[in-house]
Amino acid sequence: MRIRNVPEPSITLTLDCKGLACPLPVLKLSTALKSLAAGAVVEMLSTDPGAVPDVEAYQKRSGHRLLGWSEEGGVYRFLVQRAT
Amino acid sequence: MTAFREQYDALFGRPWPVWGAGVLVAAANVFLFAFDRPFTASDGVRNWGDWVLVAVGILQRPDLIAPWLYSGSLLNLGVVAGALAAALLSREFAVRVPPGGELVKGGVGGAMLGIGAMLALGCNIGGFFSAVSALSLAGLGMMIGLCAGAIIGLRYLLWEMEHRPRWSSGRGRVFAASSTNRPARQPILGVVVAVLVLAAPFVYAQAGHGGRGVFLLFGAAFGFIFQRSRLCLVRAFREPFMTGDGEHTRAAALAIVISMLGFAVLKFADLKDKGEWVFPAAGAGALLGGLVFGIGMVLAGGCGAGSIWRMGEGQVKLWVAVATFALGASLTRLALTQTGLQQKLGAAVFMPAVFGWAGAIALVILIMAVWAAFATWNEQSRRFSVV
Repeated sequence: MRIRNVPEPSITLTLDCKGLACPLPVLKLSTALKSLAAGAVVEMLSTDPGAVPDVEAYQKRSGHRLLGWSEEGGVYRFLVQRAT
Repeated sequence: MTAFREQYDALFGRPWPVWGAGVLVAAANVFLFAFDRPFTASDGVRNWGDWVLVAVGILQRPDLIAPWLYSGSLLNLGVVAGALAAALLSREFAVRVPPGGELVKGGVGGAMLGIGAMLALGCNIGGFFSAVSALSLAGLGMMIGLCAGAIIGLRYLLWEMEHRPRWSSGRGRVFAASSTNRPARQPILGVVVAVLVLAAPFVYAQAGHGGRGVFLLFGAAFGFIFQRSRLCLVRAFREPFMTGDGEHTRAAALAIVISMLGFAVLKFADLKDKGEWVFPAAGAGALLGGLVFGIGMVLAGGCGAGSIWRMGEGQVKLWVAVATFALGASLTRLALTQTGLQQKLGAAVFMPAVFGWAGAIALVILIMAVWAAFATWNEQSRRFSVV
């Protein structure tokens, strides 16, 4: 799977949110990031097209960094890094 | 060709600007009101539920109009078709099956949408968006309830994630997603759906049903705009208390102001009856209905319109939610009528009759401005955001 503009980082935690509707993917992502150290990267998998604008809005407000996202076969993959 | 490709990408590759979608939805709602009636989802959904109750013998309604002829039902069917066409054209359609716990939440949330919409005499579209547009006081009452309900619903989800994590985990599955090998298949199907929707009014006119088919077109326009922009009234209420993002709140406030001005023009110029879409729910009905509906929309993951357009996108959780929304609405209306509570939901208050035209219009604009300003201030301060 291709991630835009970034080399593949090492992933600390993978969250499987496939099948979950808004707002659960973002809520789970946020809870997971809070439990991790700064710089840790969470990989989140979602099947909701709404997760794309949701995660973008979330990174803007929370300060955590969306490293990139990709889509394949209806599964969206997000890489989000916890802010320092 | 590259210029066309860029435009196609702007329409179907990226989400539309949310505020722009708010303007479009407001304009479409004014056109729809001028044509016949304002946009609402619960009315058509109840028509479906009533047919189920008639089929099982719980309800006798010889006057019940067929779903393919009833305006509210046609609007909803149009929303499904419009969202389906938009999702296909954007290669975003897929049948998304959630884990079991999510389906239960969809069912419970959907039933709450039905109960809330009958108490407030309209869902968040008919009872809030279009009601405020029609300068009905009940619409503002429902807004208070919706806001409180969204906060409670969000609190519940956070509690559930912490204490009952298994309810939202499990295996989710996806079927019929667009494949990279045959990227053109979904857009071609999308064009077919769009052509069928556009043909519907002619078929209806041919069959002697006059302008009925036009409701399908209006519904499809709403579904299309919602799917492409993901403009969402659940987000408008919930997001300031969740991530703090205020984009959908500002878009909703803008949409309501534009729609209200359009409705006010139609009513002031006597093109529409002043009492139209002013329902007797200003009181306990609007407040309590808004509260129940607000909790339900967060649990279900979609409001009156949101649950219906997400059906078209292939989200199975919302298929369940719309089914219980329909049954919940029909059973609640039946219970309210039989107990006589239907007459006690509240008063029908046309705000210009109380505050004057200028006063009523200024009041709505002020409330929407305060709502948008609150969301914007909170974006910076994150005072109310939990995530």
